[in-house]
Formats: sequence, C-alpha cells, structure tokens
Amino acid sequence: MLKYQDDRPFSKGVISCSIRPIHPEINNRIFIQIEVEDFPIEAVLDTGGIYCVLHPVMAEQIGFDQSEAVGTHSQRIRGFSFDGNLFKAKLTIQAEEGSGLLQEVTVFVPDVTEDEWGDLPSFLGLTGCLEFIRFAIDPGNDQFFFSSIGDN
Amino acid sequence: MDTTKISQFNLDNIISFETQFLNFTKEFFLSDFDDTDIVETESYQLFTDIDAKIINQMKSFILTILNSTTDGSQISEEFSDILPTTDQAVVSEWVKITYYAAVGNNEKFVESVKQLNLRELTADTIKQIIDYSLDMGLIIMARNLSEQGAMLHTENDELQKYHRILSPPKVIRKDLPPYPQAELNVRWLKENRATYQGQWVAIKEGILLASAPSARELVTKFECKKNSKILITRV
Repeated sequence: MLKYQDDRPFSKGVISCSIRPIHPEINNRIFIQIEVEDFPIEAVLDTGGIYCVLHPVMAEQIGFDQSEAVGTHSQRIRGFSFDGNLFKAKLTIQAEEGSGLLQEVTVFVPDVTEDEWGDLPSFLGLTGCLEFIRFAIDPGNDQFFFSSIGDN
Repeated sequence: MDTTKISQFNLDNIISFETQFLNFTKEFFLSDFDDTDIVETESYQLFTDIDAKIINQMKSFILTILNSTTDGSQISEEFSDILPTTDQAVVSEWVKITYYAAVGNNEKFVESVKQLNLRELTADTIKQIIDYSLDMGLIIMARNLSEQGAMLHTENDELQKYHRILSPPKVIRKDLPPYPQAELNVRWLKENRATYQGQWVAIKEGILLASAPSARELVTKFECKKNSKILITRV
C-alpha cells in the first residue's frame, strides 16, 4: 500500500486497472472494475467529469426506478450533450488487496439507445462520485490505489 | 396597452411561461428599436432597465386574459408560481436568471441567483433554479440550492429528493474484504484484447462466458445478474 512520509496510509485498497484505449480510439484510458448496485461493470476514470455516468444498456440491466430520479437534465460527455436522469446508487470499488469501499454516489443514466451512445463506456467522474476518494495510479503495474479521505 | 399584442399570446402553444413572458415583454417594449442595432445582451439590458413595476402590471394583465378562458385559469396558476412574488427586485432577478440560463451565461446566472433570498421563493421556483443549474453544469450550485431548498421546504417531496440525489457522495463502508480474483479479469482483457477488440464480453475470474458485437446482443443472449461477479465490458 502507499503511505505518506510519516507512515500514515495513503491507500487502504488496491485493484488492478486496465489501461487501454476506448476502441476505436488510440489514446489510453484507465478502466476500473466497479459494481453499481452490485452489478459489475468497468468504468473509465474521468477526473474532468461529474457523477458516475452509466452506459445505457448497463443502466437498464441494473434497473433504476424512474420514480426515484430527478427530472431530465442534459450532461456534456466527451463533447456530446445527452439527456438523462440522475439517481442515487451504491458504488463498490473492490480491492484485490486491502479493503474495498462502498459508497452512495450520484449516477447519471443517459436516456438514449446504445446506437446513440456509440462507443462510449461508463465513466467515473470526480464531482458527485470520487470526490472524497484519495487515489493514485501505478501505470507500470496497472494498479489503482485508493482509500476514503477520512481514512487516516 | 396595445391589446393586439396580448391577443397574439397563444394559449394553445404555451410551452414555457418564462420564455413566452420574456419574448412577449421584449417584443412589447422594444418594437420601436431597429433589431439590427440591438444584440441580445444590449436588448436585454434595455429590458432590465424597465421598471419592474411595469412588468408586474403586465403580468396582472396577462393573468386577467388567461383567467378569462377555461384553459387559461389552469395555466394561470402555474404562471403565477413561476414568477414567485410581486416584489419588484425578485421579479427582476428572476427574469435575469431565466434569460441567462437560456443563453448559457454561467457567470451572470450565478450572480443573479446570489441576489435572491431563497426564503422568499416557492419550492417549485427553487427546483426550477436547480434544474437550470444542472443543465448549465453548475453542479455545486445545484447541490447547495437543493440542500437549502430542502431545509426551507421540508414538506416538499421533490426538493427532498433533489437534496438526496445531489448530496455529496457518502462512504457507507470502507472495510469490504478483498477480492483477489478481480485481477484475473484484467489479465484476460490484456491477453485477449487483440482477438476481441470492440466486442462486448462477459467474464468471470478470467474465464470468458460470452461475447457479442454489442451490449444489447450480449445481454440478450446471456443473463447478467447482480452479485454474480460476472464483469460485463467492452474490450
């Protein structure tokens, strides 16, 4: 695990991440395995993004109750504007070593078909999702270190 | 007042009262100006210079027209709620907020919202401002407004829901036991990327269970379940 200079833990969990492009692009992205409402998916780490943004087919499989959503809002994702709904959902970051985290985060579910969504994956944004998670990437070993910021 | 302009206010085509009201009043007061000499911001500035008392008088007049029709009396209730108060300053700020939201001027929108005293606003109006904030990407503002709105209107279910959904992430547990097998999926993705590039796959602990060219086809042919540890992803 990663530690501060004074031996306080920086991370309490670590999981392998997959560093690869979003096909058919060529630039690498960081894919993290997570669970949303106990449904395992991969999501791209997007520190410039907000919320956990779900691929529409994955969201459908998870099965969100529309009556629990707030309105229809638009969200800009990778330069495109999508309408969708906001929900609160459980998000789990498993650890292969150390301790995993379970959080309640804001999730954006786009109201589009898979064709309209295109090749975009699910995303893990900062605001509304990872904002209280301390994390670091080791691209040499494809590892994602993490912990809650209240953890030391 | 020129009643011919009032008669053009088409009850059947009302989609957004804010937009209609704003467009109507702009047309009403600026019809003497050459449109080519006015850019959006300048015409709005002229509009905001107009005494808010006149706007209130117009609102009362329009409400009178609306209340004289069967459809209008229902619509007029919603219209009254959108302009939350007869206070001149609040009406003026509300018009600005609507305008800046429509043109996507985040800075001016935020400035205008800060001028409002939320205690003077109805739950629906606060919700409308939150909606504008969300659509403009002003997430933290939306979050703060939902929190304040929920405190002011404890009886309003919608605002309570907004507050719940927009509140910051909350860590529920930070002691989940490790799941070392997750690494096997990452290894499989690395080793098989060339073969399955662009395909959707279902893998569990490094074993491929199914693949398909689209997520839709994959979930159609393979039942995906919660708590199954079966990872669904696109290579």
